[in-house]
Parts: sequence; C-alpha cells; structure tokens
Amino acid sequence: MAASIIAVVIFVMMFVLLVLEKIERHIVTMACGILTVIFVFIVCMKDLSIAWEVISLGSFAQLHFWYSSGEAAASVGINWETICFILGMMIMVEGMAASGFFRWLCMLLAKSVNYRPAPIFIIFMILSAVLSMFIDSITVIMFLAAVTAELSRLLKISPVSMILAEVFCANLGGSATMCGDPPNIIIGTSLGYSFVDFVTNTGIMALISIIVIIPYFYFILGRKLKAGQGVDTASFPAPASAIKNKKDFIISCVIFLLAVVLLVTHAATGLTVSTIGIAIALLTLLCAGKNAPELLKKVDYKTVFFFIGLFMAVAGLEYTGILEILAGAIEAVSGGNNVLMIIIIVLGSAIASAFVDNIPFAATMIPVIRTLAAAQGIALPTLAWALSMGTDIGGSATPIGASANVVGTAIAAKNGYPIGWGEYCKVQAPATVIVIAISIVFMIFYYL
Amino acid sequence: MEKQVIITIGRETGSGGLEVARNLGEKLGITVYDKNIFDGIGEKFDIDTANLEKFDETPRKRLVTRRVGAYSNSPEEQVVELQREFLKSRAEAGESFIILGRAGIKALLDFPCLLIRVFITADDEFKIERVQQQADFSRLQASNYIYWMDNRRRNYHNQFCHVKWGDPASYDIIIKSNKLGLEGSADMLADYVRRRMAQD
Repeated sequence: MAASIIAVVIFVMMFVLLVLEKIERHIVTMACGILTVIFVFIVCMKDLSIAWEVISLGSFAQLHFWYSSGEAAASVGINWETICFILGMMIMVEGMAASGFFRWLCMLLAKSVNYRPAPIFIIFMILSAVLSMFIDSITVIMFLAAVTAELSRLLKISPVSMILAEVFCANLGGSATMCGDPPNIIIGTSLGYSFVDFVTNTGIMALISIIVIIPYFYFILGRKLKAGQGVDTASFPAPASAIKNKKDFIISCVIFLLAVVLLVTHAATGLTVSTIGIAIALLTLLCAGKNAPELLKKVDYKTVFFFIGLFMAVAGLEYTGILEILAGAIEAVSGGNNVLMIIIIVLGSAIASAFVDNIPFAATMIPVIRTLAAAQGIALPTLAWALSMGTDIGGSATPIGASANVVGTAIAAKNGYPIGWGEYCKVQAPATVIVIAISIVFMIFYYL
Repeated sequence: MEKQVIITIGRETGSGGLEVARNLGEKLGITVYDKNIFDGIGEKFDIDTANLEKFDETPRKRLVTRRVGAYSNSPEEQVVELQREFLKSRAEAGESFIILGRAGIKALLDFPCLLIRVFITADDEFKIERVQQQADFSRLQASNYIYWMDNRRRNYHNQFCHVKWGDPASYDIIIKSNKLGLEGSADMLADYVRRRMAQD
C-alpha cells in the first residue's frame, strides 16, 4: 500500500513539475525516476530484483533487443530500444541538418511551384506529413517553419496559415508510422509492433485523414494566400545555396534513404529499431569523420534523460498495480462494450494529450491497455492503434499539446507573428475533431 | 562617450523612471531604449514587430505556454529573447545606452563594460499624484493601478532575471525620485555615472 501511495505521489509530482516548467523536464523525470526506484522498489517493496528489472540494463544482452524473431517482446521499465532508436535518429538528423538537406528540399519544392503561396501551402503540408513519417515531427517543423517564415517574408505574407497547417500535418504524418511520433515509438517497442504494423493500421487512418484535411486547410486558410506587391522571385535564394557541402549532402541523403529502407523492411529483416538506430548513428558518425565529435555535441541528450526518467517513474505505477486500477475503471465505464472502450481510449488520450505532454501519457497508458486487452478479450493491437491516434492527433488541438506545435508557434512568434490560443484552436481544434472522428469510425468498422 | 557605459534602470510605477531616464540620456548624450527598442528589433531582425509590442514587459503565462528545448511558444519570452539579442548586439557594437526595464540586467550582466544598475522608487503620495495626472484616475484607482502594475513588473522581472526586482542587492544605486525631483534625480545620476567612469 505504501509503495502504491509513494508511486502515485511521485508520478503526480512529476506531472505537475512538467507542466509548471520551473525545472528542466529531464531533471524532473530523472529525479522522479530515481526516487521511484529508491523509495518504491528498494525501501517499500524491498526488492532489488525489481529495481534491476526496471533499470533494464540486461536488455542489451538479450537477442531480441538486436534481432526480433517475430515474437513480440513486451518491455517493462526503461525501454532502451526506444532510447537507442531516438538517439540514433537524432544523430542522423544532425548530420542531415549540417549538410543543408532540409532547407534545400523546402526551397526546391517552393521553386518548383514558382513560389506561388497557395501551391506552396499545399506542397509544404504534404512535405510535412511525409517527412514526419520518418523523422521526428519536432525536427521537421524546426526546419520547415523556419523556411516558411523566410519565404513568407520574401513573399510579403504572414507565415501563420502555413505554419499552422504544417504543424497539423506533421502530427498527422507522425501518427502514420512507428518512428514518426515519440508515443508511437514507445507503443511499438513496448508492445513489439513493426513499422509495417503501424503503416497498415494508423497509416491507413492517417492517409484517409490527410485526404480530408488538406482541402480543409486549403479552404480555411490556403486559398486566401497571395504574394504581396513588388515581389521579385528571381532574387530569391537558389535551392542549391542551401547545400553547405556537396559530399556531406549526398552522404546524408544516402543515410536517410538507408534508414527509411531499414525501417520499412525491419519486420522482414528481423532488425529491431534499436539496431537500426545504432547502425544509422554509427554510419553517420563514421561518415562525419573529424566532425563526428561536433555532431555528438549537438545531440539533445536532455531528451534521452527525459525518457529514461519517465520510464522509471511509470514503472512505479505499473509494478504497484495502480495502472491496473485505472484499467479497471475504464473497464467499468465501458461495461465490457468494445466500441465504447475504443471511444474512451481515443477520446481520453486525445483530450489528455491536448493539454499535457503526450509522451508521458502514452508511456503510462501502455500497461493500462495491456491489462484491458487481457481482461476484456479485445485485441491488444486495436487498443494500441486507438492510443496511438488519440495521443498523436489529440496533441494537435492546442498550442501546448504536442512538441511540434510549440516549435512551430515559437518560430512564428520569433518572426513577429505570435499565435494566441484563440487563433490556433479556431483552426486546429476542428481539424483534430475531424481526424479523431475518422479514426473512431475506421476502428469501429475495421476492427470490431 | 569615451568609455562604454550601459545603464539599466528599473522603476516603480509613477516614480517618473521614464522621465529620469530620458533626462539622464540627454545629459550623458546616449540613447535611451524604452518602447522604441521595437524599432531597432524590427530593423535588425527584419521583422514586423507590431504584433509583438503588446507582450512587452509582460510575464509569461506558464500554464498556457510550453517550452521544447530552445523553443518557447510564449510570445512574452520571445519578446524578451529578441530584446536581449538586440541589446547584446548594440553593446557589442560599442554603443553606450540606457535600457529602461525589460529585464535588461540579465542581458548585459556578463558584458565587459561599465554596467550601472539603477532602481527608481518614490514615496506613495508622489506616485499616486503622478498617475492621477497622467490618467483620469481617482486616488483609489491610481493606488490600485500602481499596485497592479508593480506586481506585474515584479513577476515579469523575477521570471526573466536571476536577481529580484527592487531588491537593494540587485542594484548599484536606488533613488527616491521625489526627493530631488525628476530633473535633480537625473543630475545626481549623471554625476554618479561620471564618477564611476572616472574611477573605472
């Protein structure tokens, strides 16, 4: 009992501190994670073996960490597979950014439509969704919104409409694959799903949604975009000027394509996402040569520690049975009705993710859906896709819901266009409702 | 000026901080950055600052904004960042100037030049009368307005600075502007600045 109370107190304290942002988030989760291990597992439960299981360093020595024989390996405690994959992708993205890849791609596409604002609006939405399928949506928006702000200044238009649409599409694209959004990486690695599993489930929902969402954004925002007077597109920077070093540029393109191929085929090859992440990171560092230390310095280690601490804190709830109580509550509310349960998971995740960070939420909900599936007889994958769509898309509704929204609105503000909650939610909240509705209807008809 | 000097001025509402800063700027022949800082920001960063000005000297609303790494979607924080970048660039260009409020201390604390930190206060009666003159307020309204504005400035400053607003330990000199009058206070400060420059 004491262990459960302490686990809940530490977890709630972690959530409150994350929302308040008084202390950096990696310090918050690491401190709460360490407190959980010490007070919940060692002091209250007096079980060092659980503490060791949660720290999970032994997973590196297990074959399924590197190679999957097809059998799903459920992860508890620190999910090193997620961490290695995220770290690997971060190193790859640093290499791509250093070569000028993202800016080149954006400028090339803008030039291909003669810098006309409305076609750029549509093409950048698609670009945002497609890139976010393979690269973390924060990185995509970091570069895309910066180029959008630059192009908008040259075209003498406000970048707000484009940034809003790009942010939404980045979250939507991210929901389509296992590596697109951090909640999906956690769901995939924790429950043993592959890239193809995601593409053939959340990917279909994302595809249907994007077919509806592009016209929505175009009619609400895009069609009004017209370049200002006296714009001379001939003076715009050439796409090639974005490439800082041709050799590095080609190498980073090849590494990116290799990462995509490895991810798409990982169910067939048996390589786990952690193996892919580590291999891509090593390849990037090898190709970077003497610039490798510089790339390593730029990696966002704070995010890595954020994940490590988070997994430890969530394990406190899992081992003390708190999450089973939560699962029991969902079960009681749904009354054993699978349709209602899907609706509760999608809507609950979406509403929570609109206001709190969707990463800790997804990490907390995985043991809950695992318990629900076992107790209710509903297929675990169905609940996993419901959780994935809810957390990935729900976060789009408010400026603080997902990290990509924060980055996009921050870049807009830095360029003189602060986006308030009203302006943001007026456009994004209905879009979120549309996609959530599509996802629920799809899941009810396709899975039940 | 022969030597580069940067003066940060914090002030209580109604104390006449702006007038003292302008007088001091004239006496020393240096620029005073107040709201006009946005003109400089717009020019330097090639952005339209019209939408940003309403977030000037405003505390961040923590519950409705978030930070992801170096990115914050709080417009208040973005304004502070732009102001700091602008002030640093002016300092690096060798310019001497006065910055009124805007958590200027934080931006310039580590800059290798003569940095003088001033705080201007005044007796309540003086502040209330000045606010009543500037806005058509009753005595109670003026008093409430001063309380509200100072509270907002304190929150803003303490959020974005490592030192506390109005705390004597955070400043080199604190003056009550009503004792020598606004002109007299500026004279005294100009004298103080010259002495510090001679000593430095």
